[in-house]
Amino acid sequence: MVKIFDPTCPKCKDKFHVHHEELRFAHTKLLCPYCGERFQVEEADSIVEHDGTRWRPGDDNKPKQSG
Amino acid sequence: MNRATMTQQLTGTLPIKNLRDFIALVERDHPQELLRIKDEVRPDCFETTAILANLEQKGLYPMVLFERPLNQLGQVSPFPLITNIYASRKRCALALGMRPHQHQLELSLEYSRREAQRIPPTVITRAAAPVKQIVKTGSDVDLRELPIVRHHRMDPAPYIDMTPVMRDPELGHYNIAFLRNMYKGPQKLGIHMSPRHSWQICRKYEEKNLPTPVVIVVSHHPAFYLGALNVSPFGVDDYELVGAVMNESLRLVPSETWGKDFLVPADAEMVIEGEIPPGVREVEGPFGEFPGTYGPQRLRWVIDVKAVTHRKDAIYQDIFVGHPDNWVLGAIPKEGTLFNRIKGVVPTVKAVHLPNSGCGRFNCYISIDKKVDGESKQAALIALGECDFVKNVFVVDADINPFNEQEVMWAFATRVQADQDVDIIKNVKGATLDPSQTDDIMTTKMIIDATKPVRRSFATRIEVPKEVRERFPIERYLK
Repeated sequence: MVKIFDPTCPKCKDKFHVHHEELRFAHTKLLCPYCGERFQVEEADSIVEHDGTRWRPGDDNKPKQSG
Repeated sequence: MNRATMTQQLTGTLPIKNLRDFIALVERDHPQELLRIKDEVRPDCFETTAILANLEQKGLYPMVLFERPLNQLGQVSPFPLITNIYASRKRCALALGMRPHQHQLELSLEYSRREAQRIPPTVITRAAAPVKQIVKTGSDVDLRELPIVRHHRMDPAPYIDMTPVMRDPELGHYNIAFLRNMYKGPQKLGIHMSPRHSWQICRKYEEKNLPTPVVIVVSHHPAFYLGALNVSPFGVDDYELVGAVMNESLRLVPSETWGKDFLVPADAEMVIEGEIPPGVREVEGPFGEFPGTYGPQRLRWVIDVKAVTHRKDAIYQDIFVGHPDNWVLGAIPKEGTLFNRIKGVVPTVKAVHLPNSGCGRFNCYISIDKKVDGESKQAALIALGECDFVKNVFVVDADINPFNEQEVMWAFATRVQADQDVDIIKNVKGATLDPSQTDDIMTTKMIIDATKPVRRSFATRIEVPKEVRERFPIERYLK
């Protein structure tokens, strides 16, 4: 399947699947499928990246767009 | 006397196929195949799929008619909701005018016979078209009136999961595909397309900065949808092919939005007309998809809805995606089409089956009466090349029934040496929703040749002498 990352919604704290190439660095607000909250990727409570690495706001290892 | 019989007697011709006559037929002749739910249920709050999931857990797959679904305004919808029609191959056989016991090989062979033909559609007047009994356009359209289903927990909204139709702007043919449509507002939907035929058509419009006309056929006779899922090359007119599978000319009528430039099925219960604006993308999904896993949230197209037309007492239709309703529907057309393609190269092909264990798509069982070593691989390569959904092909001998998975696995266990009989083909276009794919587009395909070699002796399958078995019919002992 396409590469996915899993953001955790800052409001309801549940996570869901998002297309990595299209939305990880697109600066488009994501839509939480559970509570309807719209938020930027950087506003996620946490993120499990497509390669399995985990990231939280404020972490030093914040991923950058490659390529 | 039901309406179908009455029509037939009055006109002396077969009745035009429609959904309500099919439901009446099933209820009259096979009442165990239909479950009516009279309670109020909220389709947009997972309540209809909860009932389907609970039935499935008990191994029950009836067609379910929800008589009082609530719409998104919290009111009892005027449109009853029918779902799970295709979860049984026996009902699919009925949909093609066959007997339920013909649901295995005979069904896929009948589909293969029909899909090789074409029946041109017939254009009728608006006055004669049932789908024009009620017409709503512009601001009168309110999709909240429909009992749209929210299927699985990670779905962000209710989805219409039936078939958008698009028309190629250059070749002029119509293409029908099952594509998910996310409810976004009273006159707005999201639409997901994978890089297949609909995507190609939409791309052509976008390159000219034009909106793509699209018509969602929300409910019609099940043979319409079995025909819609044919595996035809780009450029084939799906209205003609659907007519062939329905075994009658598909009646069409000019649309409200584009008139004769875009014809819509006249005997549908309901159609939604809209336009996909060029260059517009919004977040859509996640959505519980056919593999039984969620496809991710993406940037996808939107549809600005222009009109909804329907019968006075229209029935709303839904597919329980990611479950047998979805898998069987996808399998039968592929079995028919692949059988025809393989037969052209390997004339001794006996059957093709895409089992539910492979979501009706990923795994393909082919039986051949092999005459020459290597024919099994030819058959497998055709299946892999014709349909990008097909990922793993098992080729078995004619003594194995591909509709019996136990027999296929027995052949796999006893006739396969992995180092000699398994081929791996990398970097082939696959299905973007296959959760095992590590590339966005490309997949790895596999051929398992579970046939016996022709040119050397091979251990014979055990058997109890047939003439002795015939002397001891089991009915004598089972009373």
